[in-house]
Amino acid sequence: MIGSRETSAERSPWWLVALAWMAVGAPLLWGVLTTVAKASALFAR
Amino acid sequence: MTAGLLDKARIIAPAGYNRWLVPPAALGIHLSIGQAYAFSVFNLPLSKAIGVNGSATGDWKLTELGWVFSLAIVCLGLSAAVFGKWLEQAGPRKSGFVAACCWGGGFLLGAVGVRTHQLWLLLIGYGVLGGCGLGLGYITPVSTLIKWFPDRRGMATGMAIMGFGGGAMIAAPLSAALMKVFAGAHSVGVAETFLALGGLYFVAMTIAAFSFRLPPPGWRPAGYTERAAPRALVTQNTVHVTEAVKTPQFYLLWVVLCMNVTAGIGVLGQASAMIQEVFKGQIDASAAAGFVGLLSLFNMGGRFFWASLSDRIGRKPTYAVFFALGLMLYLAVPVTGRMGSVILFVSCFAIILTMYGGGFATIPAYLSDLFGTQFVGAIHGRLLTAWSAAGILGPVLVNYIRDYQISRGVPKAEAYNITMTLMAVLLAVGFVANLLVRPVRSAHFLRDDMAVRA
Repeated sequence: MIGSRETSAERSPWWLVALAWMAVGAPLLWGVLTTVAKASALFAR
Repeated sequence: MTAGLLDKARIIAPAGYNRWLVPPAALGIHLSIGQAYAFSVFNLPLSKAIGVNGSATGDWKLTELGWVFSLAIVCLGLSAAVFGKWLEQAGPRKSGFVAACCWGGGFLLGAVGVRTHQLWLLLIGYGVLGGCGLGLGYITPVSTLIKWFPDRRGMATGMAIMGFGGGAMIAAPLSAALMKVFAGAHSVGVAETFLALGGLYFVAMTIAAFSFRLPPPGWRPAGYTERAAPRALVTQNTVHVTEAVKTPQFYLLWVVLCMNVTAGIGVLGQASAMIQEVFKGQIDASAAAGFVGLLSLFNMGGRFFWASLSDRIGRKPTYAVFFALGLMLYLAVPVTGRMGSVILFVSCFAIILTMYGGGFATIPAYLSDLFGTQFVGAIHGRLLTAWSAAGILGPVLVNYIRDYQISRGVPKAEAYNITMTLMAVLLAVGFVANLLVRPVRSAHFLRDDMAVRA
């Protein structure tokens, strides 16, 4: 689980933490991949 | 009396709360407001809002539209400075919600301005109201994260501020896709896209604002102990925001941020034109757009990388690296141009851009080291006026010097050489300012008997 080292005594469910990270991670990943595809034009000479 | 829905007292975390739920909330806000860096995708469609297929009489000029983004960035700095103190009293939920209202409302008002073709309404909506949403949204998560992550302040704020860099990567393709959907025979689709984005960002930021929790007083992560011998610049005391702005350290960090941002922002705005002019015939517009995309990736990655590294090596050495390495790289850029090496040219700027982003992301942790964590949001807000100043200084320096050199007959490919040298000088100034930072004198610390009044 993310952060389990310092949160071993904490009770927030792991799936909630995973869901929160996915909610922001998915659009960010999409944006990064789109930008990588755009950036590849620099090397496609 | 019961606490209101938005009150600070309402969001004290219960026992068992996982602090790793806070960074996604912070990222949610920063990913939303990071759209600002992608505003340029609207410039061309807005310049033919009347003519639709091409500019017609009465259509806005690109120079007029440039003011929308500039005004938003100026309002970002000003609102962060003005409302930073209020944020510390109100708490992140209330300020995050107000930021959501301003940012979403800014898009709404901007959409009305576009639909009725009134530039002043677009300026007031996106520029002023949206700019206030940017400022409040930018500083809202910072102090909360620092309180939750006293052991990894840099990493925590780096994660959030990375979102500001990443927001444009989502907004640019999303806006282009939405405009394509909404465009028709009588509309370029910008007003409708504004409405859709405003609604989306309002919902995302509201969810994020309501997800914030504050640690109970005295909370420490399990297993965390303060360093027996803390770093020289790290204080365990608190400096009030009104006292912090009386210290030389505040102004030295203002110069540090301003120089670092000026050097990076000037290059960012000219990156596409610069690479095409330096490597004429080798780099076309599509490859140049790829270069800009690559720079945004490094800008975003640098925010997390450098801020996390600063937890290990300290803030002052991190900025010393930014300025020393940046100075060498700026001086190396003309050489790579003369060598005709695209790879070396791109590599230099990629590393420079990591340090541009890193400068933004590491500054809140530097402030909390010097002034304590209690008022860091408010102090950070006031320091962001350095960003507003750099937002004007950077592009003006780069554009003015380039135009001046070209008017004196310097070939376009070499017109950037003096600019690069000037950027290196700015970084040298930043290096000296950073070197002069010393621990804050104890006379500025908040005493126990003053805490109530604060």
